[in-house]
Amino acid sequence: MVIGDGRKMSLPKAILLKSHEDYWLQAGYVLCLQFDSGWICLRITGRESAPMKPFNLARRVASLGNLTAWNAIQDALGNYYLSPYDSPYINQIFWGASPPLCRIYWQYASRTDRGSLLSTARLITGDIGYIDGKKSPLEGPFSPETEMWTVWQTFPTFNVYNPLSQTMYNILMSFDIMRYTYKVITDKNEIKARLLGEKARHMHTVGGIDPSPVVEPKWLRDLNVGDDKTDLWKWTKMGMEDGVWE
Amino acid sequence: MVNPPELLEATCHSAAGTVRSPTQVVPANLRRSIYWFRAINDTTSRAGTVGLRIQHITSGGTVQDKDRLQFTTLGETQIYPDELKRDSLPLWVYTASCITRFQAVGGTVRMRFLYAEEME
Repeated sequence: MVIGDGRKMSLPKAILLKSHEDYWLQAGYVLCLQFDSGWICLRITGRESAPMKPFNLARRVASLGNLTAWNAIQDALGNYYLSPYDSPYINQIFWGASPPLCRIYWQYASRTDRGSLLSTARLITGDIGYIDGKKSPLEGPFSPETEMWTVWQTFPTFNVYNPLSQTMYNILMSFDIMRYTYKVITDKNEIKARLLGEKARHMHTVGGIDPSPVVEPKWLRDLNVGDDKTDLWKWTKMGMEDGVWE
Repeated sequence: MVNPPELLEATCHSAAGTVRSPTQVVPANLRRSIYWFRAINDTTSRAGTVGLRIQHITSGGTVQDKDRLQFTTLGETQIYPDELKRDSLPLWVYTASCITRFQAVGGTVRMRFLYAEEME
């Protein structure tokens, strides 16, 4: 790519494919989130951007070392920045990190390792299951692979590995957070059409698939009930897994 | 491509004949590239040339000279390159498991350098 003054510049791959901002949803869009018990379909009713930069994940990490504890991205009062503070909101999150070679690992839900490749959980010192600051830089463009969704009472935790021969100082993360308000869709025909892709929707598995998606909080479980009082968690799971939409 | 936030700093000094390894072994799957180097002939009372050997120790333990600088006057400072640019080539490259090492010959040399450790 040639920039304004004629110099050639190599850009991270992510920007060449798609910006993470292309994934933001507008009011009226339908979001289908997969949790452990099944799917919930939400219609977005409004949004507000709330980026956070930087968050200091660690002051220093020794050569070939990690953090001893996973970081839940909290403030001094113990509030979770990445989790909505109340149930009317959901968060869509993309993130980046610095220095470029710091390797960021995550758990979502906490104590559930994500990014494993083998039957044993991925380590936090190896070459599997991390995103480094090169792939998703602090200043962006963020890798679309960093996409996370949180609802009230759910949050991811992070750890970092320093692969260098020298101590790494100030491991910083930045979070682009879009907060949404939503309405739960309870019409079964509408839900089926969205989940099967007959109508436009944004689908996301919360946390990941191995060992299972994040378990939905109880308050959310109680909301996913159809117009005819059907348990939509079971209904969507049966539909998506067995193709049975009764 | 030089990426400024990625550069690490190291300093050391080597008295005549002593060897110095200011950085640790290059970790697995990484490559260390020294992009900027400044050396000062810090010998106080001796005239004559002072040399500096830029060496590496291979993963097998063998010491090899990669390069050599020479100082002809006391206090002489050498800086490479004069200006570090984003597309500057590395001065010296060390592969995984190697050790960066310096040895002054005939006097004391103080050094400061900027390097990056990148994936191979």
